[in-house]
Amino acid sequence: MKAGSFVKKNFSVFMTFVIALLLLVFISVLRPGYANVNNLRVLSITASFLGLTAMGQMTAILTGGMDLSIPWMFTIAAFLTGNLTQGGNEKLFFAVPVILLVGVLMGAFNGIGIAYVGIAPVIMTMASNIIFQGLLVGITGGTPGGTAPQALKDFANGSLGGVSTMLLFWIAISVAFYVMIARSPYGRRLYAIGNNDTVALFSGINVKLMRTSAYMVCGFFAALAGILFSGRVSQLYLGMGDPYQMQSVSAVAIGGVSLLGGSGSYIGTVAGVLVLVMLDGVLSALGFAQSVQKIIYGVVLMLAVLLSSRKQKGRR
Amino acid sequence: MRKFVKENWIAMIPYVMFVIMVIVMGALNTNTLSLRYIANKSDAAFSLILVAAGQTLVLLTGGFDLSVGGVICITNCLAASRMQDSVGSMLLWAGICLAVGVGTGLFNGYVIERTKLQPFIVTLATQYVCYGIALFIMKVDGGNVPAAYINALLHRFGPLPLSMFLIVLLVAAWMIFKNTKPGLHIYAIGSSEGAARLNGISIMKTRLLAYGLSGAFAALAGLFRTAQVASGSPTAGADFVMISISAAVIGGTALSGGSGGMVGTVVGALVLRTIGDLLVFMKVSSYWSSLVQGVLLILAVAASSYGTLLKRRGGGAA
Repeated sequence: MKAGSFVKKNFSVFMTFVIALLLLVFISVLRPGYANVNNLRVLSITASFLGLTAMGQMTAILTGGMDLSIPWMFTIAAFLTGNLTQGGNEKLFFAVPVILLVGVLMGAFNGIGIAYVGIAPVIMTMASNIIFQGLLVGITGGTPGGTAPQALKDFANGSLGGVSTMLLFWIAISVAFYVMIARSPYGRRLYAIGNNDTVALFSGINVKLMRTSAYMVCGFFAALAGILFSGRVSQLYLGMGDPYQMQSVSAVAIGGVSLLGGSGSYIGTVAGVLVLVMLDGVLSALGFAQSVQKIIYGVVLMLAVLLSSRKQKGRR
Repeated sequence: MRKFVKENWIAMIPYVMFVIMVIVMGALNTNTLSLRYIANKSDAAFSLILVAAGQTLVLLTGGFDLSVGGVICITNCLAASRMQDSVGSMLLWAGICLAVGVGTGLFNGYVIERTKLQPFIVTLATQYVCYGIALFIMKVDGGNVPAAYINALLHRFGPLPLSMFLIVLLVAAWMIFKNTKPGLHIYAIGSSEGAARLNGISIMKTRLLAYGLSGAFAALAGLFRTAQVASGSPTAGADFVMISISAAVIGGTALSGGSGGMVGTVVGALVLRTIGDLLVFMKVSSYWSSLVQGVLLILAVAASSYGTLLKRRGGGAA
């Protein structure tokens, strides 16, 4: 494939990357010295967490659904990390698999409600989100019962050869996720049921099971992000996952993944994550008031989604 | 009678739920059956009923309106910070608030129809913009609401509050509206946009109507909340977004569009506002209340979607 035709085919994704780059240039021009190594490292860590949750969100959205329960799956994972390890490094070996399993089970709860009972995804995950919240707040009384181990703190805040470990981790997981979504039979089936589940059913796909599994994947990534985030913050708090609810949906949508399911690429989602993080960086670097930040955020969100969905419309 | 129940038991779920809740509450605490208590609760639930009523119209078209939260924030802040004691000023600012709501809704509807973007994303974006504008108007909670304004909206006719009459009025207006041409059009484009277009229905006009009304209802909710809470807050609306959708869904409106209605929504909103009190009377710790709300939401929706599934199987059609 020639470079020209490649760009043409992936124009919308390409444009999204350009927007992210422009935002970075924009910061550097307006605040010379802002785009230094330290700030970029902080931005890369922020992007990694959003990226991990966006992977899960994208899996759910590809099937034509949506997962609004990411915030409290995320927070439960973070609280469990503190409770199960009590700050002990060696306890991570059993705690991490257990918490990831909890994440997968919470996802399975969503998936079963959606695929087997037939509840609309938005309603099911909205309800499970407050159920998870109630469970956590009811059991713990709202106070974290421990802190994350030092090893996790080093991992979430540290860097390797000048690059943050979180970014390297995100890249590694991204490669695996990309292979799963774009190159494996599993990924093809995800797109298939998102496109048309009746056709998928008649071509021999277990649609209900596939749909459930998508939410399990989402629960897995939400839990993974939550575990790591517990090392990022000095103290665990309720509502630490809240920003990831709408941000993950926005990142996926900006990346050109159709919310109706069945189309879009992971590369686009990465671009969406970068745009959102850069936008956040620009807004805070310029020192705007909260009000102006929110207004610009909304306008850019709308324009970015508009730009990235333009090409799709032409092809349809 | 038995046949009616058999065919309509799904639609009756929210009503049955509400009646059971009222009976349990009455048994636990007889004070809850007094007119005074009911009048207070009617006032407390009215803002939610208004937002959810608007949300229902949008859900019926197969859309979403997340921006209602933003509209409530703006109108709440405007009313709490700008209104003066004179009647003219009150009417003026109420009118401006209404215009803000309608404007936001029309903008949503226009952008959605014109660009074919998902309503979820479009209204999410306008929600951010509205939150920003509300923060422009008021940076922190506070404000000063004229006493005459509060008294007018919380007025009691004997023991009965104004809000109760307005609820009845809303339901009556809906009964008429849903059989008018625009009302039928809203249902039509929700069931099948293609078929509606072929029948000569203007999709653009109908969408503008649904989103515009949703914005207007959100503005009214903001205005009523201002009187009820007697202050303004730039974050007042955030709580209303998801719960307004829940109320409509518990009341039997489908997210896929084309089925449901406002009467169910009113009951759904009452159910959601009653749960909190019920838990208090049952001496359940407030920590668990969100859990119960979530379970109830799932049960209500599961019952209706399961019923639809059974019906489909019985009918034999796909």
